[in-house]
Amino acid sequence: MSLVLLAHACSHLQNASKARLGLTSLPSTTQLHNLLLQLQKHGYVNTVSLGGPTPPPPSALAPIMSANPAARQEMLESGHIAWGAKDVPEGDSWGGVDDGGTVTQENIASRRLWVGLKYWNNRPVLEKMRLVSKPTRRVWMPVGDLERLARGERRGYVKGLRGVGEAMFVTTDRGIMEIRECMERRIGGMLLCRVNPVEF
Amino acid sequence: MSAHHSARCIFWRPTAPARACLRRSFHTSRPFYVDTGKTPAKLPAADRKGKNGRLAKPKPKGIPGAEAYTEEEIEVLKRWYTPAQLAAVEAGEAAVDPEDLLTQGTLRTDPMAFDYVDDFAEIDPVVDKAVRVPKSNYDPKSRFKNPDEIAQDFGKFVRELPEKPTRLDYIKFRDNMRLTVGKEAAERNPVSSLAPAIPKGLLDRPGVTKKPGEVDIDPAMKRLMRQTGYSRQDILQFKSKVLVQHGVVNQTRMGKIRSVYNLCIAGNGRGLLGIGEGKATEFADARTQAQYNAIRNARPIPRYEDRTIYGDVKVKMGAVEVELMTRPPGFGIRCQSLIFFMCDLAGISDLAARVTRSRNPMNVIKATFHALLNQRIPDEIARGLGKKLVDVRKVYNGSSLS
Repeated sequence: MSLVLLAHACSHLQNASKARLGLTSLPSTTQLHNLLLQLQKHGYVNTVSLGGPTPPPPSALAPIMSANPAARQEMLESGHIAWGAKDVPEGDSWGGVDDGGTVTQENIASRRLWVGLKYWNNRPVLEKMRLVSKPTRRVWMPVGDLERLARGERRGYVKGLRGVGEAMFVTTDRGIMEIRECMERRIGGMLLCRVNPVEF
Repeated sequence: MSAHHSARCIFWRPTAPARACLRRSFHTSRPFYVDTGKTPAKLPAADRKGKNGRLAKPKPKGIPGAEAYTEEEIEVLKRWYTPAQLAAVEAGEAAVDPEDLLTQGTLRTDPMAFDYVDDFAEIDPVVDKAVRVPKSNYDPKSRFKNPDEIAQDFGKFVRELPEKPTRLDYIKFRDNMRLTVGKEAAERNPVSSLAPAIPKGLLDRPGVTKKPGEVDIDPAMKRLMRQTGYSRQDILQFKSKVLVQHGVVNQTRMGKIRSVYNLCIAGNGRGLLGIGEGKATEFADARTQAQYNAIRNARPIPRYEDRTIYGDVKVKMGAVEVELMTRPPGFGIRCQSLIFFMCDLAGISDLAARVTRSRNPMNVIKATFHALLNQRIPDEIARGLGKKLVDVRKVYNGSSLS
């Protein structure tokens, strides 16, 4: 898994937030998709949806991974929101040539991940997003080190999480998850990126 | 109000207690409509105007206050008045026409009515136009009495003295003796084109003149008080410290003009902190200017548990980069002197700081002030993230922390 794409995604989300965009798009990869869903789960972005080269209709931009499980379930059960190829019923698409949420072998190259950005009190909620592992130097950590990082201590070259509302995402063999979830599940992994609502 | 109160006026009590006037008023008496919240009782519509457009004579029955005293009321009055006084009260009440009570004892509701209650019996030297002495109180021929005339007056006074003169007789003579010849009014109450004097007692009102214990407040302090709304006492309670002072020179074609630059911080030790700059030829002036500017610029600094900052803050100003770090209780302020003084005056007791790159004192102070003001509050961040935030320190140590 290349981290170059992730590095570009980090810069792009920062830039889009600085430009006060409401909606932006990233290349569609499984890694980015999973990371964005985690970002959404922790409240850093509003919506994540898979679409074509043009922005999806507003109905597809509902927060399907809302922090409220009941609301999330209701969204998924209502059926008109697609967030993965296998969840879209046959023949139900966003219409036209641009075949919305349906991923097929023909259109997979043109798919984009559409991300709704969040703002609060006239400031972006996601102000800073930086890689921790670099393409030339990956950083893996066991759960003990992750705990100390989360407590704000420095581990090796990685600074602790000392910012207000700062989060770090880790890729593990159970998927991408936040560092605190890793601690709960007692699993370590490779540090992907750190996200900060404050640009300090 | 004049002194002619009837007993009813004295015993009358409003049904609803009068509230203090909330709105700023230019009148000394309280505005009637504002306070009661309702318009005064109106005459019945049919009675308001007669056929000729003037006030029709209303019927006296049912007028509040026109009925005779009940036995209980008379018992109450007896406690306060002698029988002779009571008889006078009753005679006075009987002399008032009940119709007058209705037509004149009510408050006007017409558009030209005054919005405050006054019977205009007294002349207020502040509000009312001054009453001037009539021009007829002038005698061009008046002159001072010569010694013979004064001797005559004195002889007359001695001749007319009663057999056992009292002190009062002498005082009367002294006070009523005339010193001029001519119109009496011209001496006793002369006409003058000068502006009327300030009435007696006016200067004794609070806030008009300086009391013995009061001190002079210099104009700069007065301006500061007006701008900030602080009292003199509040301002004196601010602690301040000059952190930067140096001379500066303005080069003009006439030569170099030297002045002193001061950068001062001011804080109350309870979360308020300000920085101010001052420049003047005199050192003392520059200091005062800087100090007052600092108090003027005082802003509340968000403090976690009134001892440290929320999270780490990093600010770059000019070539100075300041990094402030939150620390646990009892850590102290471990940083360079300028930031230490700022935290001290702001009431921050646990903090670490690092100044990287340039260490220009002026910019360090400005950057630190900016950093302290621009902390991001965790509650706000949590609202942005849509998360619920609980301070676990308060959960675990609830009894020891407020």
